[in-house]
Amino acid sequence: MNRKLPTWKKLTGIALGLLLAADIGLGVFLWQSYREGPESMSAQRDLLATQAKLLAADVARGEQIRASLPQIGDDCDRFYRQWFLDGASGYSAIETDLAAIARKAGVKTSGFTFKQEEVKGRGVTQVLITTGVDADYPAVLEFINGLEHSKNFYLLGDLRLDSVTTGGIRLDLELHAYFRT
Amino acid sequence: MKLRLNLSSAPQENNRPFLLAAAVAGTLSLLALAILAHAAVRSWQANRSLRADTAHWEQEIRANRQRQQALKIYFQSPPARRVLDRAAFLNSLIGERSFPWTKIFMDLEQTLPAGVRIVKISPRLVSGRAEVELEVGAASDEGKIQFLEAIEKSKVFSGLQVKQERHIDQSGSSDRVMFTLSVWYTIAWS
Repeated sequence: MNRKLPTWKKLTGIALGLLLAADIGLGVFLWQSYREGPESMSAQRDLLATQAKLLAADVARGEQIRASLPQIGDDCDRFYRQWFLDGASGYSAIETDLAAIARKAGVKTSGFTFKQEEVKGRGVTQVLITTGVDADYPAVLEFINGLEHSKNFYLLGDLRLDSVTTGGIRLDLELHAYFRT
Repeated sequence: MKLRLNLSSAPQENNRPFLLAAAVAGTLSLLALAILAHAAVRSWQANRSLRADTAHWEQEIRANRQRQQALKIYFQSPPARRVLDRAAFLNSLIGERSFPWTKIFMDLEQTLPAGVRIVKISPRLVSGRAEVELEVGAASDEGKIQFLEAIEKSKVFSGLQVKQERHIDQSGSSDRVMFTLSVWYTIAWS
């Protein structure tokens, strides 16, 4: 039996087929979208946003430091001039200053020994000063306080205390001073 | 008399089932198409916004990485390096100088029981905190324990570690026990 489908039926079938194909196409698109997951995309976006903000803050801080670098350089120069003694007259200035601090505190020093060492690349020479003082406890404290508040830059290192037969204290100390080079 | 005769060569076909099925299938397909299209548009819109945001942040990161690289090159240049090294050196000296020697003596004075004395003090600045090594002499074990308890209870000293201890049998010395310890000292920066 040779029955041919009428044209309108063919057209109806084609139209229905196209509709079904469109449904399947959209279904596949949606499935892929959900598989990628808006949540994971959103999480990825948030992670990138956090990274970008941290990086921006880091860059802003770096640019701030770069902008202030000339000022920092000037401050360093001023500090060197103000606090570090000139190498040419440093020793006499230190001796005078330490003697004045000791006199004011009422302590007796056993003299000073100096050891000079250049600090490479820093533009300064470090002078290690060792001394010992004999006095009672308040005077020793007064001497330390004087060193701490001197107009010269001293760094106190190790302090060694010992009681002496006269009833006072013997303080052996190391301190560092710096000369401009 | 009238006779109803069908004289066509092919019998008339009943199209109703086809039409019904096509109508049902068409309606369902159209309905599904509408629902899926709506969902697809919404999903595409939502993802488009996310993709745009992601691209925006990626672009920001790329731009800031370039600026960061430029800064890195600048800070590694000899003039910048010189200033930064100098500033770090001075800051370390200033940090060391700010150690409050007079105050630590006064604080130690409050913790020292009778018969205990400080022999040596060596401070060291570690990340802005002062670690102080103390060498202490005590006339008795009781005095030593009282001192350690006082340090442990102190508000300015913390993280006590006793490192070494030795007993002295010499008759001329007032100290019977010498011990070395390290403590963190809280500096009240003004």
